[in-house]
Amino acid sequence: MTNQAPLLQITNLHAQVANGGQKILNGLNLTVNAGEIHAIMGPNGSGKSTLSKVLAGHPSIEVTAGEVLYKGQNLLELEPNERATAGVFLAFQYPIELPGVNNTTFLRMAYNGKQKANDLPELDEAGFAEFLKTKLPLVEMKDDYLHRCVNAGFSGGEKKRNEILQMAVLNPCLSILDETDSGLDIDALRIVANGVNQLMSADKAILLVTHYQRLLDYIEPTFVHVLANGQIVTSGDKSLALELEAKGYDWLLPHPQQAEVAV
Amino acid sequence: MTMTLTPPAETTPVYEPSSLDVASLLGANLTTVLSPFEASLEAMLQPLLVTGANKSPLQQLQSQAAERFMTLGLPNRKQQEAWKFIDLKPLVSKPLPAVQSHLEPCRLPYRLEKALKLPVTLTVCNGNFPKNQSPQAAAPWVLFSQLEEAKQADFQQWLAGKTAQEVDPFCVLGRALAEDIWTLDVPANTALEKPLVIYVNQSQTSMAFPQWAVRMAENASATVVVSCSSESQLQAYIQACATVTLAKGATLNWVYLVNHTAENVVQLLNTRATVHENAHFNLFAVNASNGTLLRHSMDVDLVGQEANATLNGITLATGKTSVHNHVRLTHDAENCQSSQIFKAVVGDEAKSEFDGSIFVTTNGQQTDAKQLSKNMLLSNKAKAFARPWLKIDADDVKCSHGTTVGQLDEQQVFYLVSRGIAPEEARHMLTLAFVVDLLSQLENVTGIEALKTECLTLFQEKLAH
Repeated sequence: MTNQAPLLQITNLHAQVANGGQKILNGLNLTVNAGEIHAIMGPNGSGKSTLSKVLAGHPSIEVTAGEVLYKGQNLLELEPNERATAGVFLAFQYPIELPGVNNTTFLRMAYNGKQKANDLPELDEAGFAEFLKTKLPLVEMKDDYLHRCVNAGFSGGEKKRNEILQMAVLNPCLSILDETDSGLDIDALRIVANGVNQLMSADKAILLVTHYQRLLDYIEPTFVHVLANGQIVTSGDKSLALELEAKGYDWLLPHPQQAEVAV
Repeated sequence: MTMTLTPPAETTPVYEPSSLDVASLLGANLTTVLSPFEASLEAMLQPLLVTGANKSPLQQLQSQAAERFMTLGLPNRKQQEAWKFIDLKPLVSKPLPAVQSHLEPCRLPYRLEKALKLPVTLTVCNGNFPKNQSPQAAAPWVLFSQLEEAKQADFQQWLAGKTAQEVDPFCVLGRALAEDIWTLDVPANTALEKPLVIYVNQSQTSMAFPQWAVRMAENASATVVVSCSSESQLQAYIQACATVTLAKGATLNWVYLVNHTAENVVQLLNTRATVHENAHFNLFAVNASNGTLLRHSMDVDLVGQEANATLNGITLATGKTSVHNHVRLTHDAENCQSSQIFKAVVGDEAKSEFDGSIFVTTNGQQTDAKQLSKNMLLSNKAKAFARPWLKIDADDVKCSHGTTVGQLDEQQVFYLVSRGIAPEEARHMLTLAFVVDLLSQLENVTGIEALKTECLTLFQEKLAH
């Protein structure tokens, strides 16, 4: 470890569905340093997407205990838009369609929002169009996506590529990719993974939430964590993902039924 | 005057005044004390009701309209469905603004002119009908009183017929009180090259009764943009009426842009259109007014085969504004098409009502009529009413109507916010997204393409306010 503060430090995080709903995260701990890619795997319902939502500040989840530090700053105190302008980005598992909102306008507003928050110059329409042109090849997107409405009528693959295009425009320090591989065919997966790899650098980190080892063939993780019952139950390097692919999650989980029989 | 068409469906309450006594008409039947509003109305109507010879054709029209108003009486919310949701208090609770002997010249809101890069062809300022607008500026509009005799008789006959069958008391009241009527005759096979821009502008407490009578001859085409606005703190009552008729193959695009910044404004608009064979009447009404009350009553009769009407409306109602769009669309010939899309964004304590009727007579076989009312509520106290009606007497028609009332989708808001866009800005973006598809239709009308951006900017300003 360097003496620099970790990019993301989660300590004893407890979270539940807002307004007294189901408890989902039960004391989660995770440290992510700059330059690292962390894969979060785990069975359905283990809390993977909830973790993503907590980090992005989704109002449907309520944090009941614990601490999340981003660059040493209390992330949970920031409004969702402030998190975004501070460099946190969530690629949605199910990107939202926004009929009537032009994709280019949306991207420019997001870009300028971040620039403004960081006292950097904003771009006008022409300037942004030039800037955007340089980002399109990253996700092999054609110009005509830009003239359409955000995600409206996009295929599953197009939506995910549009998420990565947003990531390219916002250039975040911490990216959380929530099942970005789900619903992608092999070619789209390769395109999306290539885009993500090109956007990664030594001063950034990525949290990769996924069900499948396949994505990790394209985006190589520094660490793999298994999330179960709202906690990280085991961590390892990329070989852990291969082991999970072969053995499933069962061996990592407690078996209450067997325990009962033993009693 | 014989009635050529009985007013469809609506039952007109029968008032039978024993004499032309305004007080009894206005519902004050048991008391002789007139309210300040009634008194001011009586003072204005009484001279028109005096019988006498030597009336000019225009005066005859005014008298006939005044008499028609007396017959109809003020609307009764309990008895008349069309007025059920309309609170007329802002109008009737105080006297009408006095007729000013001296009226300031208006400071024109030039932004629209600038946006459209079009000269203003007509200005109705503080209710004035400026008699000496430069011919170039006013052309091709001609005041009724300035028409040559034969044409006057022609217009008088047409408008008298319309007055006789009119069921909206305020529509005839406007005609009675109007100083004059702007007329426009577009000759056959003529396309007016540039859109005609009309300003109805109030810069001081006043009343305005602008009346337009437009006749589109065969295959003629024209676009008219009417911008209604008022400034600062003032009281205004605007009663406007556009009466149009489209001959075979004609096209008329009529756009209203109502944007009062003053709150104490009551505007009652009437659009009456008769559409003959193969003609197209396209109405687009944009309202971003802060005024207390706006009612736009649109009566469109499709009377020739394959006649076509498109009625679109976008309302942004904030503050305590109350906006009512009332449509009565009649299919009275075969193979006619009509489409209505009305969208309303309602915030604060504002109210919006859409009351749309489609009547298909026994002549209206193969009618294709669509009607849609979509409403978005931005606050808990905002109200939207959608009242679609169908009355079909033909047996081979396609008629559809739908209505929605909803709120902003919080998932959509979060998506934008998660990209660094401030919550308020995200809400504005999504609100504009709700109306932008309809506004885009303005881009299809030659000469006023820029109106879309202008309206979006206007809405953005209103939302941010």
